[in-house]
Amino acid sequence: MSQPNPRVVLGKYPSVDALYGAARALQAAGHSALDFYSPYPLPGSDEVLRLKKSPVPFIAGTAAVVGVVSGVLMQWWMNDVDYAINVANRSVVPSPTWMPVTFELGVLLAGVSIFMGLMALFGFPRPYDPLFEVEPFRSATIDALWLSVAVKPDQVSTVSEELRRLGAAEVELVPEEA
Amino acid sequence: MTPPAQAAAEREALAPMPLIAGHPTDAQLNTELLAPIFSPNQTWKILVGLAAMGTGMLVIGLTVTIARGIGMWGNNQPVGWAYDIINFVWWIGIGHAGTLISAILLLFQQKWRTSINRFAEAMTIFAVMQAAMFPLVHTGRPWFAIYWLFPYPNTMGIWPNFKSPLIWDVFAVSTYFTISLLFWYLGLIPDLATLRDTATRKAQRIAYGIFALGWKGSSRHWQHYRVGYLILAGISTPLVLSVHSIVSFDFAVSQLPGWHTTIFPPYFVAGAVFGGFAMVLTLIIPARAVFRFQNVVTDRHLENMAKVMLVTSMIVSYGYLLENFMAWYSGNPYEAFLFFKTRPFGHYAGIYWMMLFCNVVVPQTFWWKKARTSVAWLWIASILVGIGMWAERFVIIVISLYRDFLPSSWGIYAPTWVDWFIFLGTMCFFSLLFLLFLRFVPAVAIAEVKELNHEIQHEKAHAGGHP
Repeated sequence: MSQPNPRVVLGKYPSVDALYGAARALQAAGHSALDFYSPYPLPGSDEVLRLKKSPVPFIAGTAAVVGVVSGVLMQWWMNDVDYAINVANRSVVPSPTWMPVTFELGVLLAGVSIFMGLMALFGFPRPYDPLFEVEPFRSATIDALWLSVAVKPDQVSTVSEELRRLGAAEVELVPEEA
Repeated sequence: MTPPAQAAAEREALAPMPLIAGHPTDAQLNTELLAPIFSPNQTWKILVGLAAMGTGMLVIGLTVTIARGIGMWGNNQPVGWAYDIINFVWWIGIGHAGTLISAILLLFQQKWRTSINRFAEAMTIFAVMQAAMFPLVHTGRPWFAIYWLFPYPNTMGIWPNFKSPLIWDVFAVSTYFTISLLFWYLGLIPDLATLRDTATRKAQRIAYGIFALGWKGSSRHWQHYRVGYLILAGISTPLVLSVHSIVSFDFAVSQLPGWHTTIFPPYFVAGAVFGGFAMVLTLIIPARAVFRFQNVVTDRHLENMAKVMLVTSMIVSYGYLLENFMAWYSGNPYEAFLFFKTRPFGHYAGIYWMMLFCNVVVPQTFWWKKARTSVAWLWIASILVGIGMWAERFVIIVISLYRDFLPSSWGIYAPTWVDWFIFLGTMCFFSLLFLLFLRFVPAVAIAEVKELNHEIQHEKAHAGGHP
């Protein structure tokens, strides 16, 4: 028999300290699928949520190297092999005149891959999310701090109680995805 | 006064003006900064109407140019580059302040950038759009330009010549535009989500929801987002320096007196930042008055920008000085003729002296705090600097070209009405895009201002505990 889909419970907290305190208590109780929602990045949230290092620098670095290498190869092949431009029989490989295009391609690929990489990591574009069904949750991008925890359906009521006990001003259950 | 009270009063007097006025809450900031989007403004409507009409000039100018050819312009031998390239360099230079404010000041952790970076980034994108139009139309047949400019596999089996600075320009400008756009949009995503969640009308929620891509402010997302944003700022910094350096290569790689100088790359970059900051001031002073952003775009922001303009003006002035010194020191008669005869006393001497007045003399007033904090003077000075930087490009391009090596090929350049229509038209089109931006997109980075507001309040609370 397949596992029932986990349900997401949300709690709104009045301060960062209360939010982190609640998260630590839930982690101690064995819940790991936690997340915070806030209008601006919260300092220290990475440590509280025990997040792994972001792969974005690796993505950007790899793309920059690919851009630089392909820039050199492109210019060499186009101006030296496929349609050779021989000016005064000067040695052309590697030419200092290739530096600007090589540099620009490195930056271009790094920049585009950062954006695309972020989109892939976020799973964006995702214009619909069951979270958006919870009207009070809209304050997460305006002025409120929310905590989410994914739990088994039979734990919903106990976890909701727990969130309230840990200082939540408001507790909401996210509807199941259609 | 008791010593502690006196010390406190002195501290108060020396403390810089605040970056955010008052003690707003997140919700108050939200309402204040989103007000232009939710409450239409009569002044805005009038300005949009005027800008849209002015954009008509651009449409007419471009249509005539494309239909009849670039013979409709004043360019002719020996002045083969004129308004098109002057305007290209001027507009692309204006774009540079945007990246400087958003990327370089971010890396240097200059907190005052926060309220003005979105303006400046938008300005960059719109200015680069105007700039890119000029060389494209100057190709004469822009519909063929794809295989002239980009490595597009065509049936003739030829490729662009990568030794040409003009091709470097294509790569630099298109990379700059792409990266600036991504940087701007990435910064906008959290604010578009805020807008989606603040909006009460369904159509607005859907429209902003699509562009917010599904942002929820999750900490798991913020983690990657911050890293990505910082790296993008990191790579934008050398990029912005490279772009105007490469634009300067268009001239410096040639042999012409007034162009063939090694000082060009840093001198062009400083000039770009100088002109760009002037444009930020020209735009932000009326915008903050119309949309009542004075609480977040404070007089301190304006004063800091005046300081940056003073510094960059000095670098530009040093460039002028060194150009003249090298003309004398090199002993090259052509250089000496250009710098000591043609520029100061030739046909276009008025433009040369105007350039010196606007770029060298006017910013010197910023040594006085009174000048830096007078909004009216800042606005006038910023416009003068804009004119001065345009004059600088005119001096470099036209004055070097109209007196050739051979006196038999000398000639005078005068722009035609088509040149004027395109130039003034780009200004109107730029204004139109900027006005639409002010109305439909959060013009101040809301998430960043909220974060800064918390930092400031945290610091204040901390300082209060330990006097």
